[in-house]
Amino acid sequence: MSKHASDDILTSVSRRNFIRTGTCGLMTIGPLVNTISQLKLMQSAAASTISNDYKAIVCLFLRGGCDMNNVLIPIGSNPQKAAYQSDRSVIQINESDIATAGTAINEPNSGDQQYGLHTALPKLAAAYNAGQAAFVTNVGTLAEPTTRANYESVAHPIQLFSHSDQTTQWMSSVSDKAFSSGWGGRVADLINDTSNPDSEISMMITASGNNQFMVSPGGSIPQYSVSSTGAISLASYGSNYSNALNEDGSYRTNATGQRLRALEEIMAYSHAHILEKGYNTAVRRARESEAKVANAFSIKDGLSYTNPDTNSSESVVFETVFAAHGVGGTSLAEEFIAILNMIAGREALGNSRQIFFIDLGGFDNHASLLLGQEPLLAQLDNCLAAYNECLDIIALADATFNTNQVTLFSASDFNRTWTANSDDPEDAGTDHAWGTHTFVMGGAVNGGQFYGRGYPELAVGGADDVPQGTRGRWIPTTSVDEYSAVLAHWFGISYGSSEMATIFPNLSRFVASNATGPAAELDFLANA
Amino acid sequence: MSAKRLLLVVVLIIIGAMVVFLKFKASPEPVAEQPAAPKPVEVEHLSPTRHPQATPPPWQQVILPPPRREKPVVSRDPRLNHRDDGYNEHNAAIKVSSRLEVEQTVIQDLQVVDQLFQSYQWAFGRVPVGSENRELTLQLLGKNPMHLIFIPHSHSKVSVTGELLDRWGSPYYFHPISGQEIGIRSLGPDGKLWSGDDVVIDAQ
Repeated sequence: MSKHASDDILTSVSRRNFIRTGTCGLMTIGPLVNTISQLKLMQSAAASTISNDYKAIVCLFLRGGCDMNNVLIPIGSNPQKAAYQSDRSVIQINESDIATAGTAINEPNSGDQQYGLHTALPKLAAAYNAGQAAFVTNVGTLAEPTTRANYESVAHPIQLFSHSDQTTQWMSSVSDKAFSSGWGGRVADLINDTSNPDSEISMMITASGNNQFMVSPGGSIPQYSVSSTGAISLASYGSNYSNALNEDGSYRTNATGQRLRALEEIMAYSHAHILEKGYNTAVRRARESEAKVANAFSIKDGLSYTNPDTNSSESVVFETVFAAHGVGGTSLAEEFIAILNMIAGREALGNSRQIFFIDLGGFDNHASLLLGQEPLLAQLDNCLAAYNECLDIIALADATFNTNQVTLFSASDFNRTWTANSDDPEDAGTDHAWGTHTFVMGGAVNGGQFYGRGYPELAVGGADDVPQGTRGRWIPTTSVDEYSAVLAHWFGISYGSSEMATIFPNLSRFVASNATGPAAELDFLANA
Repeated sequence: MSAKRLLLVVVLIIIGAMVVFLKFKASPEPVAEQPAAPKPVEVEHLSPTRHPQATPPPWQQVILPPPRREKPVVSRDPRLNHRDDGYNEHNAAIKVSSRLEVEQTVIQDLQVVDQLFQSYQWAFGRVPVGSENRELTLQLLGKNPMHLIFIPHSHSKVSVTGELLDRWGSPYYFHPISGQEIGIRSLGPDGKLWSGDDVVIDAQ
């Protein structure tokens, strides 16, 4: 390049040249930006190795930190039985009571070691023995693989042992960073476009209010709340707008009817302000979804099946089943019924993948563990049995559904301390600990066995105890990431894929990069 | 000067700067003298204690000693007192903690303990991590990333095992709720957990 030429470039940028080169640049950048914006869609498409068959996962969160040390109890010839009986002293479940309740189970993977479930869980024990349920032992939040030996040198989950942080981390499956989204929300964000092209309503439905598990990145997929009676309508207009609307859907002439009419007219306006616009969108979407949920309910109401016991045709009424198990009207039963309605009426919702969330609170039994936990577990046990029965009924009434299509998994803040905080059997409770045991239930579950990396050593100062503690808090041997990834894999996300890495950013710390499926000790779901 | 020459000069300056930088980096740094073993923290009781401590209490063995300072640090932060042994005293918190050693109501005691946790939160963004009294107290005693002392090692309400005791000599019962809140319970005069005379500060 000549001296004159270089000087020209430096000094003689004319308006014409500027416009010409600028236009060329913009024409180049435009498609580039467009391509980048489409990458997410391409990622979604790549994630869609799943077929169009229906699958749903149900997250059952036991709030407060359920004491699972009294749910899976070593009995009989189990070598840890003596430790349980001595260390749990005033808060133990007696083996004779387990025998009476019929909650004894065997664990085939450890040489048929004998365990007993809490005496309030006979139906869960029956489901386990029938191969419909399995336990995953010593699962918990982990920032990286942690043992008693490396405890002081590795990173730990943020604010270990605190309720809100551990709950959040179970739901996000990211233990070492501030919360930004839940792993359910990230699954939905990646697969919704391709799995649910005809979606009429969010694929994430909660029967217990907003939760972090279902927070999607950037709010791309909202979580939708339902109750056992259908959509949750706007407040102060009566049940299902009965005070504001006539039966034909027209507005009533009373003040409530006119108020609803005014509200909906205001919501129809367009707004420049982003918050006003967002509010309007949320309200309008809620009103539209109400109609779609009503359609789902009408499908469920139209289902009938031949009762194999009576050989008579019966309508599908879930409330009757829960009432028969003695838990009709309980909070957990209402939540189960809400999601069962959505499963039965799924055709109206247009989703081939659904994620549900329900919970049961009250497990923070610092005091009176024996008295406090028993009724909660009894409610849980009966609700689980009724839920399973209802799924069987849906399968009888709807030939396109089978129980292999829905998997329920449990989670909780944490397990509780091995030893009690008091010597008084009436007052004694347990405190916040760490690694816990979970259960999974459903037709796809390879049930009747324990998964994970072995039952923890039940000893203060033992191989699995947090060093320098005095109460017994098990260091998890399976991370929440690994546990959740098995469920995501069943849902259609491949191990080793970029989608799996997006959903579980820390999974590579626990799973080999060349893994194509769950480790054998965590392979609790049969992939169709 | 033409653009070409200007570019050449700039390149030469950058290369020269890189050479100087690499040379400095490659030169061996003087090896710092290895810190001597920390001297035991002197135990000085401000009030009659239930556990006379002629030797350092066992809990001090689990606090990783900070690197000892050869020279006193000139503090630019009036809130801290940098000690020669590597610890940093949080002046306000230490003053607050002294109120646990004087006559006041149990509610005021609980408020003081709550204030100590708040001081820790202001320093680290979160309250101490743990579910047992001892592990939370050790963090207030200096087992934390900045070796900040919120309760002096000589405090009469810290037991030989490193637990923070209420005015009746029972360890406080802590309930970790979140990164911003810890519930605090005194077992009361009877020293029995969950009895009617327990006094508690807990949002739940």
